[in-house]
Amino acid sequence: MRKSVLSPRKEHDAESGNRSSLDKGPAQARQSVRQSSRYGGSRMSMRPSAARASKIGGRGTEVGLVGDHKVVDAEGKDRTPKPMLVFRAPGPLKAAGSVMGSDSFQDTGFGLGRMSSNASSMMAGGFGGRLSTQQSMNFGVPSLHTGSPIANSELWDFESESANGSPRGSESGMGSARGPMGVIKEGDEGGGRAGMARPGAVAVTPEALESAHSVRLIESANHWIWTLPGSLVPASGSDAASVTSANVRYATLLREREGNDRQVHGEAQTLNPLLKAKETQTEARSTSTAECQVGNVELQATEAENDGSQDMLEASASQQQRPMSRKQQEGAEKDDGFQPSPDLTASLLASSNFENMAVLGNLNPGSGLESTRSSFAEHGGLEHQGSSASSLAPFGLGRDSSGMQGGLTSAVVSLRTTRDQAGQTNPLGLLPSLPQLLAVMEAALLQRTHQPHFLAYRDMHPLWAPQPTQPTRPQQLPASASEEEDLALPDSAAASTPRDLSKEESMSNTTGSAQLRVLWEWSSQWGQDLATTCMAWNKDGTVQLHDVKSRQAAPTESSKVGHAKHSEAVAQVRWVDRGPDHAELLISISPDGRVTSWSLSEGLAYTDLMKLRRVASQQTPRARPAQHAAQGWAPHPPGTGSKPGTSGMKSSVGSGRPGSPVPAVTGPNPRASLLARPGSPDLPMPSSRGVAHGKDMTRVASPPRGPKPGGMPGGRRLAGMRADSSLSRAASGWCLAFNPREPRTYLAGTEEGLVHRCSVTYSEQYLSTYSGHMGPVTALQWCPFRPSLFLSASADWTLKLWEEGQMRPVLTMQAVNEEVNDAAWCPARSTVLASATAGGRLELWDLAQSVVKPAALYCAPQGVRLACLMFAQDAPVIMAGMSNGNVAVIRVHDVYDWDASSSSQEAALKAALEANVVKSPQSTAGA
Amino acid sequence: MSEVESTLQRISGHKGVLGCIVLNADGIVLKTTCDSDLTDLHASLIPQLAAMARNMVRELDPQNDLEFLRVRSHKQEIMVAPSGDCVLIVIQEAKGA
Repeated sequence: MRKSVLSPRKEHDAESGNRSSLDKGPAQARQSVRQSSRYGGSRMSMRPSAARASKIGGRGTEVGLVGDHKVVDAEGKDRTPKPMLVFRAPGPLKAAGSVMGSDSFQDTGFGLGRMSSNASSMMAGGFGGRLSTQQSMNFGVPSLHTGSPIANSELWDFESESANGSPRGSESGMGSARGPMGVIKEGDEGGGRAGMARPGAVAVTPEALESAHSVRLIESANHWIWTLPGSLVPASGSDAASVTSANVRYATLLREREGNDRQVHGEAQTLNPLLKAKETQTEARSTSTAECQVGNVELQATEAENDGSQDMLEASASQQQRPMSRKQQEGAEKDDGFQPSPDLTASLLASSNFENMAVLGNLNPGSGLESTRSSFAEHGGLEHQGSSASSLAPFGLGRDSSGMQGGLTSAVVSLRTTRDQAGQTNPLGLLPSLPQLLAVMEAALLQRTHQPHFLAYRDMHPLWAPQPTQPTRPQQLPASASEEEDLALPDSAAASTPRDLSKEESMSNTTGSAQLRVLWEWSSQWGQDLATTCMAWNKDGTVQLHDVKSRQAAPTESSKVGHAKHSEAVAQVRWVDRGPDHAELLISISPDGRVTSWSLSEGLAYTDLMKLRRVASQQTPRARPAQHAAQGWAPHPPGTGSKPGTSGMKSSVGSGRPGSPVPAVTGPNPRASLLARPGSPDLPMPSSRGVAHGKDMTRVASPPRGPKPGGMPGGRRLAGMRADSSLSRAASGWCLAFNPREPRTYLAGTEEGLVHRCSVTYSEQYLSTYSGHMGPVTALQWCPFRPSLFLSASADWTLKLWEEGQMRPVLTMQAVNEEVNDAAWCPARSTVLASATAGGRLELWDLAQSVVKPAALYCAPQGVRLACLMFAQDAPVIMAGMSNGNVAVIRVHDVYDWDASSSSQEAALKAALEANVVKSPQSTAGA
Repeated sequence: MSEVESTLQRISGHKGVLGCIVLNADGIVLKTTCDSDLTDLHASLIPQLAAMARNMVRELDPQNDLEFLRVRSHKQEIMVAPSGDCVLIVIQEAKGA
């Protein structure tokens, strides 16, 4: 406990002392205080004396000014307050302490109280030393204030006693002590004593009241009942220094306690709850788990389905089937959403095993799982959920299916059974999307199959395939005649079985400039049974128009009816582009000698443009006029003059008409996007011309009536013209060529080897005739780079270049002794042309290189003839029709030159021609 | 029906095709042209992959959907055409045609 130094401690006990004193009688207390203060200074005795109740006038008197007063209430009872301190005649006065000791506790209390209330004024006297240790106690003791009359009285008593010094002093003392109280009644000191002997029997006279009385206060002895050592230490004391230092240390400790390392905070629990352990046992619950993965997508999908399939479920359950927020169920955290319901266990299958499916999903709202399970059920429906039935989510029911509430099992079973039944009866038919998938798959397969070819076509190396080896030597591969392919022909309805296509052939080129490489070959149903690829529908001379897009077998238009059709097979059909203002013309030429134009305005109306007539040979100077009445067809004013078509003539060939259907087909239709315009000599469909029908193979096989194997050094032969001059005056036209720059004239090549230039409008006579070939002219084409140059191919094994206006060919090319069935200019290179021979050779001629031998060569497989060929317009590819029904797509390398401008092309061609033509007159070319 | 069958035959007869499997939505093999253990193996593994691929496609764009899936390995190429109610699997040699 802290001890403070001489700092009086004010205790609340003083207050209580105050209170207690107040209880006694406030008036008396105050009085006594007043009086004591009046007299106390000088007359204060050293000895504290116990206070006694001053009884002035005895018992009945109040302790106050009036000693003899009695307080009587209304009823006459004596209500005078009795003094609390009963005066007892004491023995010879002893020390205050002993007197004090005999007193009651009550007295001492009062004495003490008095002591305390006397306070510092008394203490300050000599009491300091003695009372220091007890000071606090003094103060701590509930004490009366000095105002207690008892104390005063006692003091007074003693005083009077001591003053008198007689045994009677007590009484007198008392009396005198009471004097002040009863001072009033007596004026002298001794006067009060008498009154004291008999307590209460004090007569207070007004005189006594007026007289002055002296009061001497003494203190009674202190009785210490309880001592509480104070915590105050006087600064001058012996241990003050130690106390001070201890105080300082303690204060420092308190300050440093926070955060001090030597301070350890500890906790202790003072109350331990009572624990009681108990064990129970339950039956093991059978559970099983399964997983599945669900993505955001499936959640949405199944949610959408589920919303639509509400009617399938119970109403109450359906409400709870609304899936929880996706975030809860996303990903693989399925089991978090699960609250294993004691009633229900459902085993979810591992995603790898899809068997024993049962539908779960509809749960009784009573079960704890509800929405989590049900929605999980939906989502566990995994991927392929399309129908609402499947949205019920295949799940496997656990063994505790009995615990499942809700009448779902019936629905489950029914669903399952239906599925099984349906599955078993018609496994594939149940799948509505299977055909589409099959189509997609087939397309993918074919795409994969043909991808190398596609890439090679575009000069790209196929993916993941071994790099194409450098072409070393030509390989002869067997023709894949038996293979077919699902080729989208215009009229092929049923898809043929896909076959493998071949067989890249690569050829080496001796000159190294051009290469030919077969990419693939096509065959189709149409050509399978026929030795040629010509379409049968032109066999009888009808011109039929087929719509490629409509894919119908029947032609759109036909010229079967009436006399419109050619009496012979149609040799060639051409579309003439007359510009944007006019529709295209369909011109056909046939061995029956008619050049017919067909218009599509009403049905298929025809107009004979020309009837090819035989031209008399040069030896017969008479020119036979054409005898026919051809309907004029004059969309254009006849602008072209007519020249007597009697230029150098040679007819070496007979009419060649009988029954030689050399059908040729170019089946284009104006509506087909692939239609070839006559301006471009390429036909969209490879057609073979000149190769006879199967039954007419004999014809072609027979050597042409052209030049004898010995060649025609230059002589001209006359055919037996005269023999059939009257009967058959029509020359059989085999080929047709329209100049893109001059659509009003056209070239017609006949079987006689003549090339007639005719006018569209003037049908009477030829404008000019180019003779030189000794065999039927099989192909004609104007040069795309040089408008006055055209190419003719003939069955007399030669190719001839003609310049318009010159009756002699500019150039003649022949490689082998095989009749040339088709020839064409290369659209991208002015000096390049190709020819297809009946021996199966595809020759690529480059005039700039050589006119003697072809620059590149492709040999068809053994026994296959090339019937026709076509350059692709935008790709370096040549298509060649073969006699086995295949179409070869041949890649041309290093030939096409797209970048060169037309002027440079022309210049190149011109240079080539000049280079060669100069030589040609010397060589025995042409004729 | 017969068209489906004929197309299936045609596909499985294509050059290099090792097998053609048709699964229904639950992964049950409906039709197969290759041997059973190979079929089971594929039938157990491929729908998962297709589902994941589909998920990926749909997550990239919810309006999109998976149409075709090809897995090309050294030895084979597996082509999967999934749909809502079935899965069509064709296994072809890697060299192909």
